Amino acid sequence: MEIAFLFIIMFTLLIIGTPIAVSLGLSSILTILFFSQDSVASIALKLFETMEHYTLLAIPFFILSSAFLSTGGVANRLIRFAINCVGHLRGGLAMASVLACMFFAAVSGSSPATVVAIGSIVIAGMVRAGYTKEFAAGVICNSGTLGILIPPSIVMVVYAAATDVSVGRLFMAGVIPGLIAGSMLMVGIYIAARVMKMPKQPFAGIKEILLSFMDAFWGLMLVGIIMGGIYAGIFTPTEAAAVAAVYAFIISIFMYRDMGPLKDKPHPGFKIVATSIIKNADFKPLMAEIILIVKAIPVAPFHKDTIRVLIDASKVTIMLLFIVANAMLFAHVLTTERIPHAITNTILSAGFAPWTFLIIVNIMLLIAGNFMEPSAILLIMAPILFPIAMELGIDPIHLGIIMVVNMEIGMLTPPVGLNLFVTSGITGMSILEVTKAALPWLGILLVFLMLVTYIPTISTFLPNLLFGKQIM
Amino acid sequence: MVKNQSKLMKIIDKAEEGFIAFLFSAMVIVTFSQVVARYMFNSGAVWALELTTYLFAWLVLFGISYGVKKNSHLGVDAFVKLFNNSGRHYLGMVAVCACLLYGGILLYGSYEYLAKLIQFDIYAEDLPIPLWMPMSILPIGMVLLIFRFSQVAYRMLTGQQIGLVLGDEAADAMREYLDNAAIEGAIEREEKNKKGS
Repeated sequence: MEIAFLFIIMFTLLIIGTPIAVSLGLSSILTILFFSQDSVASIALKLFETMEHYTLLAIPFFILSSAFLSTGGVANRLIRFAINCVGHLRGGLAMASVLACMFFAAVSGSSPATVVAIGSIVIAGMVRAGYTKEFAAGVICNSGTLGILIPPSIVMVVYAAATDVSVGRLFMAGVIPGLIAGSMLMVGIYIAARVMKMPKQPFAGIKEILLSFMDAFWGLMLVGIIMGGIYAGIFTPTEAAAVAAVYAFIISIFMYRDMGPLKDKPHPGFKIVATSIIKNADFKPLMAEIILIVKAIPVAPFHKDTIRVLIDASKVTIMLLFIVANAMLFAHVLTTERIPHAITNTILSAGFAPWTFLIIVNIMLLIAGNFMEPSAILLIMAPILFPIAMELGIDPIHLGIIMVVNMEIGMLTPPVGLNLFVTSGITGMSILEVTKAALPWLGILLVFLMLVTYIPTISTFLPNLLFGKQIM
Repeated sequence: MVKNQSKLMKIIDKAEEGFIAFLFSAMVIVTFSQVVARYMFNSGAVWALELTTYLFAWLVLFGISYGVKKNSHLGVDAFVKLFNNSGRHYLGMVAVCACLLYGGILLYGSYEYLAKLIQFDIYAEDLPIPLWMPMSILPIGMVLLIFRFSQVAYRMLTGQQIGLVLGDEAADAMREYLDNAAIEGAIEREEKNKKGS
């Protein structure tokens, strides 16, 4: 009864166009008021307590670091390196854009951002090189979803907060599946390119590969700092995120100079500075650089570009956390009504084997993914699915990766597939055309979902290797 | 009059954004400095974590109303789009009323909670301040939220707006990117002109 009330109010509010956060919040509040003894004051406190959740504190920092590095300049550098790596194969440009999406995913924690940053540059280039627009759009739309699978990932942080699984483990668990998904897409492209006789680029040469790597290095280093720092125990994931944000600020303003006070003053290059010192004993270029940077340091934090990035990141944080806080309230109502408990008993008494249970999980999540924000789905579904999975002996990390991959696919299916909208925006194709273009590659991701679901080792191997086996 | 009003709006806009940017950067600086303090000076402040979480709560709870103003809260509009304008208007009114009800209940709840905190004189765990101070953002945020949603309701009643405008993450990501591209393009053109002349 209570639950019917809760869900009916929630869905009604949702479809008449109330913001997701308010739909979740108001339905939970009304349920609490009508059916339980809790006071209104305790509900208000619950809302405040969400922001005292230490794990969730990582989200704003990850959003900020990716906001600093989401400029066209960083994307360009990653794309150049990717093209140099695989561009000379048949269908190379398409494979390179998958690779570039993987690189960018290691810098940013969101999917639509990856599609926009990489897609808006690569799709035009692919069409010029002789690919069809549909092919280009389909590839980008799909490989952009890797943004939430390859760490750092905001969706993973939300799952960790909902289930008290370690963020570090979950990030590590995302590495191998991310690489596999990327490789599967690339192999698919290679086969298609062989059949359809698609163009290839000339080989760039080892020197150019190294040069472009050096150029992209500072951006890619971000994921190195996060993962290395967490693995070595130097800092907690939340601190890692804060360090990443500061690092991204320094890199984007002082190294890459795509924004901020040094925007019009390009880097002279280490080589020129070094040769002038060694050969001519001339310290002038070095001194000029140092003076330039020292002068920029006090200005940089208050520069209008920095402020703009801060505001943009705040907007995303606020929007996301408002949803998360209310979804937490919703999950709290579910738990106090002992819904997860009831469902667990039903499922267990029905005698489901783990593999049938996982099929149900996949189908439920794929359907839910069509209608809601990934973070909200995770927060609502995790408290329900998690206890059942524990009873059936499924690894919590494994369940997390399954949920994340489902959320990925949810971004590619109408009506609420975010990646479809973004791709349609940057290519000018209609949603229907993009959906059709994405379909063959979506098939690859579905096969990938099966692999991840039924081979738990893919997800659990790396975290178990690095952190030792999880004790439950 | 209108000019003055828009000027005032701009000042309020700037003040809101400035406050949000301040809260966010303070969060980053406090957390980052903790890592530095631990490794460089082998020390750290007990109150740092508590301060960060309070800043975070202020950022989000203060920012919700800003999000309403900027139409950045996500929602599902597929169903609403099936209706004609008057249908959308009625659905929108119901949605806004739901938002106002949400804000109202939480305002009442947070007021009640705050009153208790003051009455029993409870202090924060690590920071030497009474707990009602950081918690005061709850009623403040809710008052601002109600204010912004009433503005939306007023605009809908006077016919300036049909329904609730929901955030569109895809469009936002696009717009930001296109803005950057447009700015970069403008700079490039300027440079070319300079070289040309």
